[in-house]
Amino acid sequence: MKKNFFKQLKEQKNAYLFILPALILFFVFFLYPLFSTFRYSFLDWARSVSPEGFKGIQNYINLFTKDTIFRVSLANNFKLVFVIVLSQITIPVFLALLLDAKLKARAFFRLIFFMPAIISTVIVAAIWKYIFYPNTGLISNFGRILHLDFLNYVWLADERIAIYIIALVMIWQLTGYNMVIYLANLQSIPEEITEAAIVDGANNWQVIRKIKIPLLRPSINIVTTIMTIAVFKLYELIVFITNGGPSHTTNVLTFYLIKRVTTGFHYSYACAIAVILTLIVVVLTIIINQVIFNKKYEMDY
Amino acid sequence: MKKEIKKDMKITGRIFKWLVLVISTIFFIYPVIYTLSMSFTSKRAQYFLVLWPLEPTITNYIEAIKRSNILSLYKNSIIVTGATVILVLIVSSMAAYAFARKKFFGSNFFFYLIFLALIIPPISVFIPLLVQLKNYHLINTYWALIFPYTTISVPFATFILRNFFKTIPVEIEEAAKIDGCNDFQIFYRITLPLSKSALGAVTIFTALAWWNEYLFASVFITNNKMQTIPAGIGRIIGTYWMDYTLLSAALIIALIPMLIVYLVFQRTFIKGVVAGAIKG
Repeated sequence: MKKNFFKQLKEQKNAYLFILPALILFFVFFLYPLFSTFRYSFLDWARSVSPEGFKGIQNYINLFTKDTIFRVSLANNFKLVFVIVLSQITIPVFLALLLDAKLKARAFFRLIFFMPAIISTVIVAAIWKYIFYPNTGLISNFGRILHLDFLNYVWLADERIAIYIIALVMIWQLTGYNMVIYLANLQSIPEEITEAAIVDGANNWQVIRKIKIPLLRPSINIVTTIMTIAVFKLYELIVFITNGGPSHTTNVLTFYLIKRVTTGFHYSYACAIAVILTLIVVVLTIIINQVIFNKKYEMDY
Repeated sequence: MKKEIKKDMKITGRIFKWLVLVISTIFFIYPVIYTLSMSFTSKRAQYFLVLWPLEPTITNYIEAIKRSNILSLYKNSIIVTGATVILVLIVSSMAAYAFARKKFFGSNFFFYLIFLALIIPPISVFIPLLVQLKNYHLINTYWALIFPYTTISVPFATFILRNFFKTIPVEIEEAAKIDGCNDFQIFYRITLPLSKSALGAVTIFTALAWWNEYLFASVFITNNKMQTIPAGIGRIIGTYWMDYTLLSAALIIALIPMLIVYLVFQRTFIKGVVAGAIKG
């Protein structure tokens, strides 16, 4: 009995040694700062090297009552979540279904469609900003050559259009990535299922609608989650394409948070934004997975 | 009669399918081709550039290399990404082994912590990290990126590797134990060599994510000589925006390493990204 206990302890000692490096990193560079973000958000800390006192929930009250830019950013984030999720549960599914059929050139198309996902977002932003740039960019060049003067326009300075250009660039970046996820899902469907349906007289369209799309549920769930998170992470495209403008119509939370740190050094205020942002992402992730898709987490412990 | 209609539909279907595929191909590749052509076009001809380079020249590349430090940024990116990948592989495979094979006090609790880290966005630790890194005197060193990058990647990598280790038959390890191997030897000599595919996937999505990371990279390292490619190119965009032919050469130089890796390892690459997405 006693021997057994020591043996177990020894076993446990090795287990702790195995997880120790991960735990140290995790506590120092994640858990502790996460706790600090929460703590700082209740302090009075701006433009100085250390906090200058306790402020309670004043930062949060200011955020929701006085700060119109914050509210605009929040609304823009949700607008983009809507556009991006909607586009990414339709367009890439459609492309994946096209490539799932017997097609020799599948590898080629997958290679091309996925490529934007490997390019740094900073580079993507510079490329697209110039495409929409007035007078010298691609679209205005087209206008000049085809004599379509309306194409030479300040696209990025138009309050109604700018945010949809950001959405377009995100779609360019993410569609191929998501298509690859759907394609992997489609190709894991056993051929016997679709063949049996065809033997029973189902046509292609019925196979897609009644069998393939319902079986895509897990990947639609994943894409919805990843895309929602991606929109709340959106930063580089805003910095390099619109810089939040025109008149804050493309301001989003991450961008606004960083702006508060780098231009105003409003540490505690920015931390309050970070707390709200974190809560939104966590709550949305839970809602998407548990409520909408009713996913059961299988913990094999 | 009916057969003919069916045949017609099939042909229209096929035309429609190829039309969609061709238009999509143009949409996805054209912006890159356009930038590539721009980088070989002379400054005064750029106003008419639509597809192929006008007045072809390589001056833009020569000027971009001469006037910006774009080439020296490669080194920083390779060091930061390389060190991060190596650390992530070591730290997360060890932790994953413990979670897959050992029952120990607190194992459930630690595992739930990992789940927590999977859904909390990195921005939520950004400000305190900046303060901490300043206090540790790590700002403007490679470690200012390597530590946060590694930490953010470890939970997810651990999760993937733990699931993979669970698929390895325990009998192999038990046989080794009877032959006198200790835990570390089993881990190093048996589990790791059997997990090359999972380790490969972890390498790919970790490297891709951090090679392209901008936010941390631009704030935690402000010294131009130490910056990674995304942070450096961000600065170069600001400086040379009005000289877009030169800038596009810099953009092409910046995206070429990852593009080559992608084209060479496309299969492994896409598989790795899918593994990265699906298990999350």
